[in-house]
Amino acid sequence: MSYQVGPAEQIPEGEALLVDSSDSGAAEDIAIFHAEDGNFYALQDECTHETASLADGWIDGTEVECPLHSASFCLKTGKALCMPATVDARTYKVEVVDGQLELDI
Amino acid sequence: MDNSNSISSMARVQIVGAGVAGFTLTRELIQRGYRGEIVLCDPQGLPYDRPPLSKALRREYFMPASWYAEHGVQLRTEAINDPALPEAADEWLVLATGSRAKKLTVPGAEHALSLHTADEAELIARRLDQGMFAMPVAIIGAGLVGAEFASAARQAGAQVTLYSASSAPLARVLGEEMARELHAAHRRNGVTCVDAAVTEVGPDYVVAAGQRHEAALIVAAVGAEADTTVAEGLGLVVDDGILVDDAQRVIGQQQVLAIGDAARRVDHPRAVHWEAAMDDAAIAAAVITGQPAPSRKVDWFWSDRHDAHVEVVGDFTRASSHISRLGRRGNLEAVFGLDSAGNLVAASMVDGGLLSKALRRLMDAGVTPTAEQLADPSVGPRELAKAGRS
Ligand SMILES: Cc1cc2nc3c(=O)[nH]c(=O)nc-3n(C[C@H](O)[C@H](O)[C@H](O)COP(=O)(O)OP(=O)(O)OC[C@H]3O[C@@H](n4cnc5c(N)ncnc54)[C@H](O)[C@@H]3O)c2cc1C
Repeated sequence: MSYQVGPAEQIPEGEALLVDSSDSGAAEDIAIFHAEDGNFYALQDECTHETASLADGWIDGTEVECPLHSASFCLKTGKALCMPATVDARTYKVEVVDGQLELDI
Repeated sequence: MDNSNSISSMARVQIVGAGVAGFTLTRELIQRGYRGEIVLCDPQGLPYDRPPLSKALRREYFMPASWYAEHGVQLRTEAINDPALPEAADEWLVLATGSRAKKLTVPGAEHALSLHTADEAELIARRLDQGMFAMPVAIIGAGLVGAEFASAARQAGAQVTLYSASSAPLARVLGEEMARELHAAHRRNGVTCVDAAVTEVGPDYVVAAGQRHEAALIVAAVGAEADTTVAEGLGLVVDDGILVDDAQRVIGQQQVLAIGDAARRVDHPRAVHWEAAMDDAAIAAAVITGQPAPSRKVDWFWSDRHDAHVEVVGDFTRASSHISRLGRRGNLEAVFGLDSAGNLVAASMVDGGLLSKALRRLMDAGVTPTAEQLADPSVGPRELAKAGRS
């Protein structure tokens, strides 16, 4: 199922958007990142370490660093790149179609 | 693990101590495809993380026991007091013995519990649980652990008194102004602060400034010191930590490394934080596997108390002047430390969000924003970081 997130231009490069599960109908909150390689990626929003929103994290290249304890995740694969996270984040497919973001939930 | 390969069958890393340093080294070796034997020893059993001890009084394991078995790691619940020095070029000894709680030295000190290990945290949690409502708790020392435990004990409904010899404990770590502000925040959160040293402890009381105060639970949190017993037994060079070079090699040794709280790099203050221990471990793993060592990041640590997420980047002992940033409501958001040449070398902040990440990047790049930018709360983290790019 795909959820229409809205125009891609609402997320400047290096920033992220939180897609609330109550809006999208997805099983969890999802963060969509506009990475510094120009592409969009989506991961589960909640850090796999403790309760923190990855959409509030720091995007560096194609990685995001959790705002609380600096665990970082690969935006492409969801892989946990450093401690304290030891569990990978779930990834979601996101596409830009005619300037609109489509999230596969 | 492939033991049929006779060349690698000798290769072995013995890690003494399974705190975050020893554990991270194990994990890094596995991730880097190390093919030798990994032996991880700690009398405290299945490795756990220390930060949750003073925040939640809880033992949190890094990984379940099955993870070690799956990766062929030999996890041994034992103290190694007299390890053999490695003889072959593919044998390594890594000392990750960490730190231990400093002992309170006043009369009656044996009546105070300490909060450094998971067993101690669980004992304290049980005592709080079994205690009456508003049980009087005395905490001796308002450093990071004392302050966090004051907050945890308050949350558990205890009536908490925090004894500190100073009204700005941790000034050298947080910057004077932040230290004062955070200490004052205890009072706003219902903790009684007595800014006087405790001179005597009894089974159910403490004495400070000549006054006797009743207490049903007494916890001493008067700092930690490097545990260098094993290193000293081996005759290694120890001076406030096991002395190592930039590759974590113990001075004068080829195959012996030391990492984490127990180690100190020559000409550097001893780093005593969680992330520094992990950086050490990553460098040690690179040395052992013959891979390029990752670069060391500017120091960073956090502390959580009374809903405030405190972070410190860099080193305030290097700062000779401070700039503070006040929020819109006049609250202290951050303190920045500049060295005598005017370079940004330290910062402490409360609920800074991405500010700490921006500051680390600036300090890594050796860039100092203007004093106006630092003091202005409307200059957000990303904008601040860009000061470094232009
Ligand atoms: C209560 C508490 C809260 C903390 N909170 C924070 C925080 O919020 N943020 C932060 O950045 N840092 C925090 N720290 C600091 C951080 O946890 C330490 O810097 C970190 O644990 C250091 O890791 P380490 O592996 O070097 O040493 P340790 O964690 O001290 O581990 C050393 C291990 O070595 C073992 N050992 C010692 N001798 C032997 C022997 N002879 N044989 C075998 N094993 C041995 C010990 O049993 C121990 O398990 C906190 C520390 C404490 C105590």
